[in-house]
Amino acid sequence: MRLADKGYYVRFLNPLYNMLKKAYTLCCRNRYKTFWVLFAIVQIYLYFTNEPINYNEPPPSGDLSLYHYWIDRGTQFGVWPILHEPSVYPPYAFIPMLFAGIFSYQNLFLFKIIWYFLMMFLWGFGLKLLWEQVDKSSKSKISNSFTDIFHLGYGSCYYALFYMLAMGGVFSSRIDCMAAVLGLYGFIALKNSEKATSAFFTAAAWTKVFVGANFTPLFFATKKKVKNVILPACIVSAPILLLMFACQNHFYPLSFLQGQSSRNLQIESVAATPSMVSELFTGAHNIIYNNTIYTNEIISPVCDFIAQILNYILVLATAIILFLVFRARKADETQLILSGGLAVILGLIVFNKVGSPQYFTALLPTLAYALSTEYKKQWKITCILGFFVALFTQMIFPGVYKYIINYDPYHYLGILCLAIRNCLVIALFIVVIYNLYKLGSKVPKDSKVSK
Amino acid sequence: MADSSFKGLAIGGRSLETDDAINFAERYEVTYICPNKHITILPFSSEAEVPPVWECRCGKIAHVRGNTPYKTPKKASRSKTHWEMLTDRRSMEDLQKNLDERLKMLESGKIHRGL
Ligand SMILES: [Zn+2]
Repeated sequence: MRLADKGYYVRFLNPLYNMLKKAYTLCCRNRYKTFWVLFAIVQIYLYFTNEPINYNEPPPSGDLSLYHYWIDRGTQFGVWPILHEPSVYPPYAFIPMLFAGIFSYQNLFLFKIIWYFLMMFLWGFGLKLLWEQVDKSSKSKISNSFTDIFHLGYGSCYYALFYMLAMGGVFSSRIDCMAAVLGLYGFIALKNSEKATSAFFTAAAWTKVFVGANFTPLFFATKKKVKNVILPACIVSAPILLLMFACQNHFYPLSFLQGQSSRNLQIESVAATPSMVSELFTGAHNIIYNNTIYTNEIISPVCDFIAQILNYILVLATAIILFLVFRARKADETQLILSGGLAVILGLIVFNKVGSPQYFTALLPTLAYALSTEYKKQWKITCILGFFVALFTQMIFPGVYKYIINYDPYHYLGILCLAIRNCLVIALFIVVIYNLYKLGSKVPKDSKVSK
Repeated sequence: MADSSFKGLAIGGRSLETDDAINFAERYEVTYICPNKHITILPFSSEAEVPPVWECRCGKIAHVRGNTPYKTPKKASRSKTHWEMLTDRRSMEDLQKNLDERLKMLESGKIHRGL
């Protein structure tokens, strides 16, 4: 029988097509069940990307063995980061580590499992809350296609899943995952209580700075600054202050900020990309492993210069972004926190000397939550760009990273991925800044209309 | 008869001596972390010169990350001595009573010395 025979398609492919179409419609109609099935699949995927079978491959879960080491050392010898030595993480980062450490005493495998389950539970709970919030606001109960699901706002939860899938193991095996879920709780709470949002964002900032950046637009947007924003933030920060007085001079709660200033350019950072690409043509080999912070850095006179001025650029850029946020302070609060927060986070990433893959976890709360608001259509491009940033991040690490640092024959491919990812990050940054600028420009008209 | 005298002993030259009263030489545990974040912890004598790098199991070079005092390892399981087995079964008073009884019997000529 010839393949081109029309009968062949009718008899074989048509039923297959119909079957798939039926399955698709069925999934869309049962969007809640489908969501949780996908959630489980994504979690399994995250686990297996975190724990590669080949021992020689760099495992994305590597940081978890460091966390375990800190807790293990602390419980046995009483030597703790923050309390006895400077730490690369803020104080609250050690709470989930302690949780996993207590229940897994000394066992690394158990530690990792508890960590993954903790993150799965926290994200599952957050997405369930987000889903319920969308449920309350959605007018129609029927969805026959993914477009319907998106328009109803459930796209926010699905987006979070696809984003996790795109980022891979690095998403769940870093402390950034914890900070991000606190950010998500903060956004969900925004409808009911600014105080709760402020508390969550502060907690996120004390876990890993990036997500906490959402705090700044909240501060500018709210009318009752002291009562709704500053007070909850102080309450959440109080234990750190108390601990500081208790420990007197042996306390390093802000050491994570100092660690940043002495670093060279990390190879994945946006600022290092031009040098990385030019290395392809000059054939120079300037990548050096920094064994104190476990990163690969690029060291050359040009990069040293960039690294030095980048500190000032970061401060300047943050100041400009904060001015843009301030300028748009009269815009819709949710919109401002989403746009402003994301702009600050991206500014911190783009002008950073470090460009670790887990940093992009911090974008997810904003991108996902934006798709549940009434402005979801304006956020479409931002979210698509964000998704591809996440996807390329996984392609770089654990993907082509080893080719880059080893100057493998696939070195070129690695640097190409890196260049594309960082261009996407810059594009995303520009889009977000533009949106923030627009938000500030149209304020007078909007506020007149709404009043 | 001969079999029973081997009871409680594994084959091989294992000492039944305990390390209760033994003081080990002072030592440190040195932590090495490789770029793949594998952690290798090795004990070194406090007199030894600690090497700054160590080859990781994955083949990468692991760098030293500070040392901590050596923690005594969990006691390896060893076979119990006959005395320990005996004290498991009977209390000291019980044993003393038995001994007194046997000594009395020996003195009164009810039993004879072995052989
Ligand atoms: Zn290793």
